Amino acid sequence: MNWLTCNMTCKPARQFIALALSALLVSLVGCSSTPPATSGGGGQGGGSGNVANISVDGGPEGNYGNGAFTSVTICVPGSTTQCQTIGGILVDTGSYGLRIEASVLTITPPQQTDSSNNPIVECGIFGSGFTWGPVQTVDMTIAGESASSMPIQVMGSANFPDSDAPGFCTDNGAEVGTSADLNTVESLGANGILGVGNLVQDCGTACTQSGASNPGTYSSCPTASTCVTANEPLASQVVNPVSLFATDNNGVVVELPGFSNGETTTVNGQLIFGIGTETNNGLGNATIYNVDTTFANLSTEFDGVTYTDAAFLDTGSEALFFLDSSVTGLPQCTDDELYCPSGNVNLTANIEGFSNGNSGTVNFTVGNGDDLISGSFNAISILGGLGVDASNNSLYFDWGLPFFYGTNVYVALDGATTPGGTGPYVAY
Amino acid sequence: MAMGDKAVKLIQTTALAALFMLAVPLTASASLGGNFGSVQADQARLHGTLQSTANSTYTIHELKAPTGLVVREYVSTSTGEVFAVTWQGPTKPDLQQVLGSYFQTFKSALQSQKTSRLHRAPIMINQSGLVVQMGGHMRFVVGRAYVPSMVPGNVQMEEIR
Repeated sequence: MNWLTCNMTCKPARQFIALALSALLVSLVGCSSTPPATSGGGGQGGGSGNVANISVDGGPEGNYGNGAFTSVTICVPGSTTQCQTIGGILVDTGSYGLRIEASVLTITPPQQTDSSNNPIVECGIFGSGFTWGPVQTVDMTIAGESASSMPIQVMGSANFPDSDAPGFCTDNGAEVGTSADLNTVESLGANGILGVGNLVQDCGTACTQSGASNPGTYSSCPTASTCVTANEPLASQVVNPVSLFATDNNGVVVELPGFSNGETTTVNGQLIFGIGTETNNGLGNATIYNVDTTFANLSTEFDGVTYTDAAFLDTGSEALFFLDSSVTGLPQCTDDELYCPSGNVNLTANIEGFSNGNSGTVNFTVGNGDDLISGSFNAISILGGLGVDASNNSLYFDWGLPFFYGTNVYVALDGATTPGGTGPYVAY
Repeated sequence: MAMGDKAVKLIQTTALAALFMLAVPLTASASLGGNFGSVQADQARLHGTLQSTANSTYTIHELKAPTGLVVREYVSTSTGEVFAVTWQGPTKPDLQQVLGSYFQTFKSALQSQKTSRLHRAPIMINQSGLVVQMGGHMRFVVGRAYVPSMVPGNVQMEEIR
């Protein structure tokens, strides 16, 4: 890949080459695995039994750094013909439930309605932006696992435009059409999101309640512009698909191999369903770090300071986003929130369970973010950036996808029984 | 690093005061750059409880909403103005409400930001007149906003959390 090396002046050419190369790789994968009628490139997936293939390959737009993509098959509930396999689905341990961009849908799953027969529409708040769109119901299959009559979110539906979303969701329109508006394939960089983190629902009990206790995640919409906050039962909420599987339903294992030199074009790995349920998902000697049941966070100690209940392991984050320059001593890049040390810097932190007392040292490296992100490599193990201040007297520590390269990570569901005890926890 | 050693005063509002605040016109809502009146307006909008902690430089008004959202507003002792706002919770506050007159600046800055290969990264606005940072993951959303020129001279930004 050395022939791609050049300076910033030829960046457009590099991006074109990267795009062309991604397209080539995608078509090669497509030829060899012949998935049924897959929409979009990136993360063509496939797999069998409890193993789904995942790829850090740039995604369907060919421009996504550090995203692990897979494919899912969704059907209109009960149908074996109204089905669609969709690739380019981002694997996300930082969220819960399946979300699909409306623009890639070729089937029409039924709309979820409330007791007054009004459509239910949802606002999903992510660290990086918002999603807005109707809740629809599908039968989903990934590898050999199935979830029936599962509520999902359809993002960017023409029937429910962003302009009608509640003010808090879009920040009164400020985020509509920006990079924080995740309702297009272009902005998201993916055809959808598969949320397989520690929690079961994407909102939980709060959204079932009336009045001020309800955060307004779900809306009942007689028309697109007359939405009001809905009391959404737990069983109707967009849900972590793993919790609906008949077996292998207590969590997942994310396996991505490590690589040398800090960056590479493509990394192929596996998303394995279940923990200790098959011969391929045993905990072995992994250490268990429990997470809290509200935020699904654990703690991290850095340079003598512990950031309590403000750290998380998130495949959906593209870098290690942690603390800020005043704490780390690493300079921020000029154009974005990445760190830009002049050379690679080796750092150490300790991951600590939320309350189970387990602690383990993590050695990691941060390189020059500007140089790394402007290159043509899809997988970058040494990418770091700034986290954001949390208000509980701590900064946050987002162990993004770079953490997962070369480390098998177990993610146990809230309340699930596993050989390592009851979830929620992460283990590695 | 902790704020606790600086705290010298704790003010708990009464139920009566909370009732009064519900009567504050919502149009008075304008937190960043506003005054304590705007803090009270935010409390009404959030249906929150208010707890205030002061040191010689500023007072932290911490609003806790029934949803679990916590909003902290930092009011300068010398100017009486809200110079910083932070939030943390399962979802975020209405930013038009908490950014007040700075909302348009935020909106313009966000809309002029270019997209890059970073698709799922914290949202950061870093201008001389306004800093906004938002991040986290689903069901854990954190952020802060402050006006650099309004931050009292002896305050380290690490204190604003």
